[in-house]
Amino acid sequence: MKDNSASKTGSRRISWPRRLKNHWVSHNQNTLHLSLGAFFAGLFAVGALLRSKSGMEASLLPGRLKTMGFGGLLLVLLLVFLHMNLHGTDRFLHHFRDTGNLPTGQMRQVSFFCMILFLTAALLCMAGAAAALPALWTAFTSLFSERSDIASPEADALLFPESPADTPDLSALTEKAGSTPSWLPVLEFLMTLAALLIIAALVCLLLYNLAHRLYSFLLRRREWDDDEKVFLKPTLIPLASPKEPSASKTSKRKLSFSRPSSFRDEIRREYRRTIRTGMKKQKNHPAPWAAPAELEASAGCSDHVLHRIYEKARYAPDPCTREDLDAVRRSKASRHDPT
Amino acid sequence: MSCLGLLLAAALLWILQGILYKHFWKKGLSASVSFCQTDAVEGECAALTETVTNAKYLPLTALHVKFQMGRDLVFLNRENSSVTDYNYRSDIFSCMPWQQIRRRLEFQCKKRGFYTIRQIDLSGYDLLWSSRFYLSLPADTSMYVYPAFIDPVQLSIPLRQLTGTLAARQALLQDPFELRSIRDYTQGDSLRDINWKATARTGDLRVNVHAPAASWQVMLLLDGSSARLLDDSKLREESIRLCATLADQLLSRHIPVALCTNGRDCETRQELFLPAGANNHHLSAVLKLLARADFSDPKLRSMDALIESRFLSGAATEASDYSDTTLYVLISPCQRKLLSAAWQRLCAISPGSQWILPLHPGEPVCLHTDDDCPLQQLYPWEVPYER
Repeated sequence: MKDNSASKTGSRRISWPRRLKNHWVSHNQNTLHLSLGAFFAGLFAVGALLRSKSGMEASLLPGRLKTMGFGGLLLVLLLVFLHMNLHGTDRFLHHFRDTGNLPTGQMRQVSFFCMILFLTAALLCMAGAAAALPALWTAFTSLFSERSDIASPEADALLFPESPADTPDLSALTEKAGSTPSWLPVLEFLMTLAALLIIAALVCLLLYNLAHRLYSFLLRRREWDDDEKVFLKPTLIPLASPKEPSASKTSKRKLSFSRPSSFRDEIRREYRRTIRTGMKKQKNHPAPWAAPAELEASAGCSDHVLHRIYEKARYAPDPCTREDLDAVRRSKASRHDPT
Repeated sequence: MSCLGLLLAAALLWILQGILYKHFWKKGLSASVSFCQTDAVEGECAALTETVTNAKYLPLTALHVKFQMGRDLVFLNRENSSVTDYNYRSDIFSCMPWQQIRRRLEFQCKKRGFYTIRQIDLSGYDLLWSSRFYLSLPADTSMYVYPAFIDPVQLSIPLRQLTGTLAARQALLQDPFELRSIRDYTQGDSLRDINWKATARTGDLRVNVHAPAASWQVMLLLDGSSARLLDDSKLREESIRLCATLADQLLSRHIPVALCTNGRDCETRQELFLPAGANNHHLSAVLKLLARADFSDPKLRSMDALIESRFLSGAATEASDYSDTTLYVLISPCQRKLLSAAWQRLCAISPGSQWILPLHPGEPVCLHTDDDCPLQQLYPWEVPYER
């Protein structure tokens, strides 16, 4: 990760920001990070102390100190994560500097991709945790104070009598407003909704574009080594294991078995029904090896139309049509009602 | 409080990424190594393909792929390999999510053999390089490296003598039922051999030429043992090359070849023996057997014991199968008394058999043989010293 481009050219001078970056990446910076962290934590503490003093309530300084301390600490922590990754990569590359086919370009790409995601997640998590922890702390303290203080008889003695704050009389400023029309809140709501939707759509579009550009930038094919790289189609099932039929597919198949979904199935079902009925009448049992003609003979059924269409449904590669099914049904009807 | 929240969240993130990588780094991760070809000849270059598949959403910044194979397959890019008892190879990959990377490694086959790769070791790191994880995967790829052929011109004298002996032996006994060709009548031909139809058609007397009654074959006896103080692999490898070249030349003349050696199979540790054959795949079978032959076993049976048990002992099955119609070619750098004695007895059964004796330049031939023994067909084969 260290920038060695200057050393390759030899005579070119390395600019001081690059030298600084190289130094930061290649050396262990625990002391620097700890010092920075302590400094910003100190700023935050000073701000908190100043705010706690009543005299500084109105001043902006404590708030700014606290914000600066918090932001600085957040940045230092992100910097620590980034340094851990870069320093580790640098040490790794230094250790394997004599290795052939070292995929430095690929490693840079993967590290960049990982750290973008990780630092974004870290930023969100840390900001969220920082915001949530005081609220949680307040909730806990109030809960415990309620549990511990309410029952004690000395609590009332410790409480100072509070005088209600003097609220300014603002009645002079207010005038008696006329009654608002009933459609106005609806219109306001609709306008607000539309504005929110437009903003949300714009934000989504922007985010989508950004994500798409980032994705295509990260995953575009780069020829920095001789390795052949292929991107796979993401699946939820591991590639090595064979695909197992899902429960929904099985149920679908069962459904299709119990209820014919094509003309071919319907025709075969009709045929089976006819043969079974004929067998019952003749008191025969269908042989599993019997051909259709033999089955019909043993069932006492001599329907040429049914025979022809069943053979088509059973053996022909062409699919059956609605006309075939209708012909089978007509033939069945004529069998039952010869008139 | 907010600062404490920040620190706690940072510590939690650091631990979480470690746990995430520890549990999921090997999910969907597969690595395979396969030889690009199943066989090659000694001295040729071949290639190996390493494939790493990361079929998951977790990227892997660095992945070590390590495997070992025979030390006589030498990579052209030697930076990532260390050769000791095996050739240990270590390569580094870096995988994006749902990515497959294939790398081609070229190597030179320095020595004949049967080379396999049975295991691949993987090691990966977490995002912040704080932990390292290991995984071993099975691999199943193999390649034959056949012995190189010697220039057949150098072998022309023993080869001509061998084929001449075979032709002479075959001509003695004729098969009356198998016709090879028709030729003009010459004085002394039997009246029974006259082909009357051909005579009537041409107007001259024509006689049938019958095919030989017995199919003669050559048994190659390859001795890999050594009576020297230091094991000389150069002589042994040259013997194997001689054996391969002889088999190739004989099979190209449609002469059935059998092979018997005191080497053991490098995988099964069984003694190697190939029955006679002359089909299209027989040369491949001979070369595969020679590639698999391993002579490094200290309990290697000596060639004289092998000849005794397989061809001279009455109980041996090979003795009855090969005794009458076989010419023996012994390729052995060993000049021990016991081997000479066994060889004499074998030559008494099958006169005209040959002993090709690989020697270093200036090395004396000190075989203890009788003058009237058919062992006169001895061909010393000079093998220059290794530089």
